[in-house]
Amino acid sequence: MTLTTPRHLPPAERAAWSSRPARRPRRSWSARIIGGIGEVLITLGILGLLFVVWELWWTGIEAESDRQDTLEEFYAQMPQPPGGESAGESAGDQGPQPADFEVCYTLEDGTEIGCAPIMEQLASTGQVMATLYAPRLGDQWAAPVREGVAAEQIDRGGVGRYPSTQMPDQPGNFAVAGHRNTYASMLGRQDELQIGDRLYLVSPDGMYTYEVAQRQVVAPSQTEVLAPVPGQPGVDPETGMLTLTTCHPMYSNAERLIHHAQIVDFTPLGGEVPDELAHHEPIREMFYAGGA
Amino acid sequence: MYAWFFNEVLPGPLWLRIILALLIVAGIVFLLMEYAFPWLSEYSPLGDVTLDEEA
Repeated sequence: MTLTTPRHLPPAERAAWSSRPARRPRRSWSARIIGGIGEVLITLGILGLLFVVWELWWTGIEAESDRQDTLEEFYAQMPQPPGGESAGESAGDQGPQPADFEVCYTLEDGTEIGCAPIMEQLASTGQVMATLYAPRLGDQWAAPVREGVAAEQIDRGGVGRYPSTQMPDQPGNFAVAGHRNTYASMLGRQDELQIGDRLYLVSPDGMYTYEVAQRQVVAPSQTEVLAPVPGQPGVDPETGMLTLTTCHPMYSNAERLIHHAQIVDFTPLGGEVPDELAHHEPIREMFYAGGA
Repeated sequence: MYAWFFNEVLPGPLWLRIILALLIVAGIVFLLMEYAFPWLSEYSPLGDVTLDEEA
């Protein structure tokens, strides 16, 4: 084979180009073998880099679109607030119209925490049971919560609930896991949460509001962070907690990053939502967004 | 190895061989991303974010 003669060269150089030998002189066998080994090593290096690209970036593409589809499906089947279809608009004049709800337990300050029968049922049938909001992590940050922490739940964008933990309508620990660096990295910025930040769990039964109370880094084997009273397995819980777990440090899975949040409020459908959630259209339709 | 493939195996003039080579590279990358790496990651602990409940 020869390279085609470049047309832009002056005639003398074109002649020189054309008169090059058709093949380079054969390399010795040892040179060819060493060259071949070199090419194999370069190939392996490129494959390794591609795997990193896949892990950190490619996995996120599908997971992110899955997350958005899931959110749409979740809100499409949401119950309407009291007052029917038009409640969303008319509520603007009449103020919040909180729905009646069954009280499952009461916090020390008297706040009544509603029961979550629909959420329970969604969880048991493997559907998305709620969506978690953390305004600190971004205006549009919204994590669908699935039941279970296996790959088929947490690889789809969003977070998964540890089935051994408690539901939010009872005292205990509602613990979820999410990816830090891969599969759309739902909890990639979990470490930006600060003590006192609010987390909102929006479910068809109402909204559970939590306040971040503690951050810690533990070994993957330290399952006591999932206990009903985190850190104290075997102790009976008196209040509700929400626990976020993800990989730590970034780009490693040597440890786990844990944030515990304490329940501070419950809002039934039609109740008033805080301003930091009011820009979410589906939430405005379920609740009463005062200033919006 | 690659020089031999490019020079001896791929047919046609230079521009066609460049296009073919790019297409083959793109195809291999796609197969790796869609099939090989997901399979491989099942044997890798990197995606494991949970606390070992059973372990």
